[in-house]
Amino acid sequence: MDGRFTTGKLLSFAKGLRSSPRHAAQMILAVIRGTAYAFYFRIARRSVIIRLPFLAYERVSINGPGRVEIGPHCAVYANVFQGLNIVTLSAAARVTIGRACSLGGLTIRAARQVAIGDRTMTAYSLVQDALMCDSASMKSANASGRLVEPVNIGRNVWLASSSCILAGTSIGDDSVISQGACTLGVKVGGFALATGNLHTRSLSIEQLLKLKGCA
Amino acid sequence: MNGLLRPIVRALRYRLRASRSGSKIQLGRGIQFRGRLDIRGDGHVIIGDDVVIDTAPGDFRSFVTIYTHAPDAVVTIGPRARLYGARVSCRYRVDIGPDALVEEAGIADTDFHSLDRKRGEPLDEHADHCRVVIGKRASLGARSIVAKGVTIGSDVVVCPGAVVTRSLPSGAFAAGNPARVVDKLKA
Repeated sequence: MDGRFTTGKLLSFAKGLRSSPRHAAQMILAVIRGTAYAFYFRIARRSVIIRLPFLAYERVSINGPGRVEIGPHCAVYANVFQGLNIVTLSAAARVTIGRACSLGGLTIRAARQVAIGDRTMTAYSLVQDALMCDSASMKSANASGRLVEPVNIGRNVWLASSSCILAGTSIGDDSVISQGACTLGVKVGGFALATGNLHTRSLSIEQLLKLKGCA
Repeated sequence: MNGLLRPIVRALRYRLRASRSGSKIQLGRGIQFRGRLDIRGDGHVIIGDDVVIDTAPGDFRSFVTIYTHAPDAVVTIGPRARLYGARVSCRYRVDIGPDALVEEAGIADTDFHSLDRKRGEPLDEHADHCRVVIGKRASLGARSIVAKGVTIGSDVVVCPGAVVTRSLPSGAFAAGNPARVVDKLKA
């Protein structure tokens, strides 16, 4: 799934238009809404760049003085009644989201840097690179050198529902963060399953699939 | 202009409501109503001086809720505390200390329901062991939960996403579900 508008996708969209007009109408509205968001932010907030095409099935909220870049072919869905909510907590903060991501119920709070790779899929989850978002607390955390660290999420990662990705976390490509998991200052390798709150040790998905007889 | 007027209008509204409630709702001086505050129930709510009431960072639809579930329930919020989208549910007593920071966290001093099939009122709860105390300068991270009977010491940091079911000593840094002390912060 690379998100490009191939001929095959156009044909399948046309088929979908006939078989499920309601879904097709929702998709068209999402395209219009996403395009409106992209132009609104381009005009009103120069530091927010949303590349088209961008589908918005649910509300997109981007606040704060920092820089936000969202790649093309991303879509925002409703998950636990929420769409996409990004807050940059300082002017130096930077949020980058790759291409063809499915973002549902995602909340990002960035004090320094949050980077999300291509084709990432999220459910109702929180990504926060600072322990506390209050400015006074962040100042004292910076002074003590504690826990305001960038978050890096690789490509094709799945953030399951109610997960928390916190300061200093690095997630490798193709990994899965389990429901309710919370990662703090850990490195999750590639193609690994992270569980637990707090997460300490990952499981290899390849091994799991072999055990299940699916590999 | 809207951003300047709204907190003033809110403050007037809440003070009017507090004055109508008799002594049930007491508001201190200098409270900053940057976001909406929803107080419900017949219990007592005492908010100290210079408290900040605000939404969760960037989420303007969230707001601070303080719900009391009994006429003798008491919620006290100490001076200079900062509540960002905090949710407080009180059946007995909840005390939030001075200079505390509560970000989008849930605090409840009751289980609301019993474990048996009827799901009625909890039978084993009592004010003495259900009271929740949040210490001075403690910080509760986003989406954390503080359960009944917990005393959180001063200068404690509770990591986002933590579920605190046991009391925490002063200066601790706690994370996880259930929350465990990860390390002690430097003095």
